[in-house]
Amino acid sequence: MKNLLIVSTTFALLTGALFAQKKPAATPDGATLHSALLKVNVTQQAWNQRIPWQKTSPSSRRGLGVLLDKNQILVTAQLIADAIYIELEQAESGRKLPAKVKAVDYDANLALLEPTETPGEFFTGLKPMTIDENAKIGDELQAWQLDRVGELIRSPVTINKILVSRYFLETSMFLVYEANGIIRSEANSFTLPVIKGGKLAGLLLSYDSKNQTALVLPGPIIKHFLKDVADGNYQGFPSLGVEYQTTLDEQFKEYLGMTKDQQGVYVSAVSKGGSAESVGVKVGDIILEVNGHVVDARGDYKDAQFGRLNVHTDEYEKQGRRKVVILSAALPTRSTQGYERLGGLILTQVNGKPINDLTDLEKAFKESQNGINKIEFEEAPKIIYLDAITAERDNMNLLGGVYRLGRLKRIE
Amino acid sequence: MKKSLVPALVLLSALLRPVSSQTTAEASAPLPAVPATSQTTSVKPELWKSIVRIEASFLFPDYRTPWLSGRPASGSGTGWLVGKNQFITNAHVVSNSTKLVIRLMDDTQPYEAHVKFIAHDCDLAIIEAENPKPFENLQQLVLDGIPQLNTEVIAVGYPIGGERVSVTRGVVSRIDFQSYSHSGIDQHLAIQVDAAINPGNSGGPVLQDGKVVGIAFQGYSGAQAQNVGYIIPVPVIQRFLDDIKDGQYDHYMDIAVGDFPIENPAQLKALSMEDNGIGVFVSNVESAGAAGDVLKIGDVILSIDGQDVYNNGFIKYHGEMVNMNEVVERKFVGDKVKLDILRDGKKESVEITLKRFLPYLTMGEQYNQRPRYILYAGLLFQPMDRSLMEAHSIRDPLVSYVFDNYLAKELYKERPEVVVLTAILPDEVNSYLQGFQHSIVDEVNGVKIKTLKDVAEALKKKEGDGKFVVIKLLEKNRPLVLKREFADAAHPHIMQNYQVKEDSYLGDD
Repeated sequence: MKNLLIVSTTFALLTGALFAQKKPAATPDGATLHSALLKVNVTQQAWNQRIPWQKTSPSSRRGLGVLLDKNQILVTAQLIADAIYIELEQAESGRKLPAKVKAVDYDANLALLEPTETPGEFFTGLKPMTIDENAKIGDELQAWQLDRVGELIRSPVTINKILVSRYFLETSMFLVYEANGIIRSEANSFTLPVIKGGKLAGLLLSYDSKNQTALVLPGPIIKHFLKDVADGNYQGFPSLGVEYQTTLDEQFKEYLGMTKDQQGVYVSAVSKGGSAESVGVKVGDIILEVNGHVVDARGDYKDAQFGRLNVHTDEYEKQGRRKVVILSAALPTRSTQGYERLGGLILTQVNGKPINDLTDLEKAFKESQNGINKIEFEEAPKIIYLDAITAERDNMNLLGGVYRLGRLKRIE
Repeated sequence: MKKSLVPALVLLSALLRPVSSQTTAEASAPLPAVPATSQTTSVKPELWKSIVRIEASFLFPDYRTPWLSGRPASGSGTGWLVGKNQFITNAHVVSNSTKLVIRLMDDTQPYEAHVKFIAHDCDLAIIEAENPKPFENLQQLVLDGIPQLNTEVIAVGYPIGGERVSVTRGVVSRIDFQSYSHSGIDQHLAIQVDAAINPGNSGGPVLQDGKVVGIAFQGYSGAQAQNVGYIIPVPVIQRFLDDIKDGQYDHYMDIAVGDFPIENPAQLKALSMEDNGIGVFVSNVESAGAAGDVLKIGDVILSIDGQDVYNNGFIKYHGEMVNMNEVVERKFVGDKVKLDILRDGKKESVEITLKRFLPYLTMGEQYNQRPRYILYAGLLFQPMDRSLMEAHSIRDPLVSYVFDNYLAKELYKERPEVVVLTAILPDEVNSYLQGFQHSIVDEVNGVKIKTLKDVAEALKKKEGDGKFVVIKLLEKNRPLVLKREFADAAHPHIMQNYQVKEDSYLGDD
């Protein structure tokens, strides 16, 4: 950092080309602030869905974490998904400290880390960052990266659109800044902080190099997450629990009894047990306003800070859809002779007991009759039988056998 | 006979070997003359003349534009004299044909012909010449039986590679149940031979000692297999000829039952069976099928018409192990089949009166049928079947689910015909409705839709004040609504703009 003392008040005007030539540039301000960045090294190992008693081979991810107050480090949830070991690394000195997940929200793609043990001197000299919530269209932001030896690389991007979109899960929609600019790819691929005026304005979600467009997880969402974590009872982001349809179609509008110039959206589904249901919103209702914001026929409203935004709704969860347990495969053993090709079958009953989850299944297997387990499926072959004693013996053989089965079940 | 567990079967065969689609293939034989040393070639010279070339012109219906005539095409195959002015060939040679011409070996004259009988389920057809005269002196070919494995046969026909008759030679490689690709849903006995079978050979006789032991009908396409040709064996041919004796073809019958092998000792114990390799598990019974009131899931079939059924569902037939359905195969509508079964540990004898199982047809290829449809204000409604799914490349998960589970989940009970909104011809009146394409029509103006005809009637019905046409689509979250006044006005314009002459075709009756 000491070699980066060249003051450049015109940094924001540096062109992308200059930038690509790796002309390091930093303000003293930047030098201090950049001490809020930590490298986060994550080793992850997901469960293998096909062989569920095993994990896939371990892999590692690196990202940049942002130090917040109370020695908390903010990263995206994607970075720490399936993590088995997390390590914080000081960019310049290379000092390392193991960390653990304090809170995570996969929907909002945010996670908060804290040191596993007493940090000692680790955080001395680092300066926590605060969150910016006031970015708007046209604002200039900087995506920050560290190079191999810890030098700061700053890429200017400009917010050109603010919208509601999915993060990396297909579940809910959240606020997103879309920003244009050239971001060079350095070693860290996950979680780049995006800075505005020395504050954390967001985390980089993705970057499309062809269109030079970055999607940024914005400050207001981070703030919401942190506030929720701070009270010690993380509840996550609320949802309305409705699905709606546009009312652009004039004929449909007339059918609904709406006047020509009336705005609003048609409620086409209401989640059972959701927020909207609890206040009596029904299918067929028209949503006219949300918190005083007029909703137009597309479902958009005008936000004072962000401009035109779409009313956020969730995927409608179908009523009464149950959990299912499937027979995914039959390991070739003596007790499964003849069943080797079965797979992808939905269980209905075992020993006469209905099966809705794995706990049901575990209980039902204890109730074999005359030493025979009767397993029934929704589809052909409909019924198979397992000898309870042979199966038990096969189970014992499987444990520690060629399939490296460490345990026979994992029910959480 | 068709097996009721079509998806499971496909899976099984896919596991046994990588099956690529079997194309309609015809045996080709490049050898112009066959050395008279082999006994299989001792065909009397006059018999060659009874093997003819059939040239066909077709119109293949287009399910995307069902109001049009379809796509013209032409092709040729082989046929042979089986009765007085009766030439037998494959159904796929003459399906969808608009014109047929018979050409003889040593005669340049084209003779016009027409289809007399056609059996799509076993890929056989009889055609008749308009003028029987030129064929009066031709000799009929004679049917033999099932040839032994590893005996020599010749395939005769008019395959690609030349104009004149061709002969190829090979041996009987295998006798087994096979899928007949013409319908896509049927399985019958078939004989595999290693004589070259090429396009144009279809319908041609396969001979041994001068007698017919089969009809060349399909090959095995794909890089994995070589020299695999299939012929329709005499029992299947004979059944077809017997069936049409009364002047009409009544199709194959079906018990519509699925089976699952009994190999596991726990199955034997649970089902109170003897450990003698006899008995197959009944894993599915189509309740609307012939065995619907007779068999139950969990029954064990021990014998069929007095023949032991092994634990894999096979019986001994002419010394070969074949699927027990072979017994049903040989029977006709109204015939009975006797089963000994084990139910709840007790032996019982039951009798099944055979009938067709019509929901199967939805799953099969359609031929010689003008696609049915209704067009209203640019919305195109069509009944779901295999041709429709393929033509419209429907990938919608719900429609695919209904198609795939139409039989397995007996969805045909609720909707004998599943009506799909397949396309929307864009117009001002329907400009906000494009998102409803490829969905299943559940209700029209308050009327539950069970067939395409229901749609035609329900569209006219006025619900409430009658100002709107309201169409409910399965699992779509809002009704499709058209203002009747606008829709009625736009309808003729749309027909004119898209050059649709008739706004519906609901079938012949």
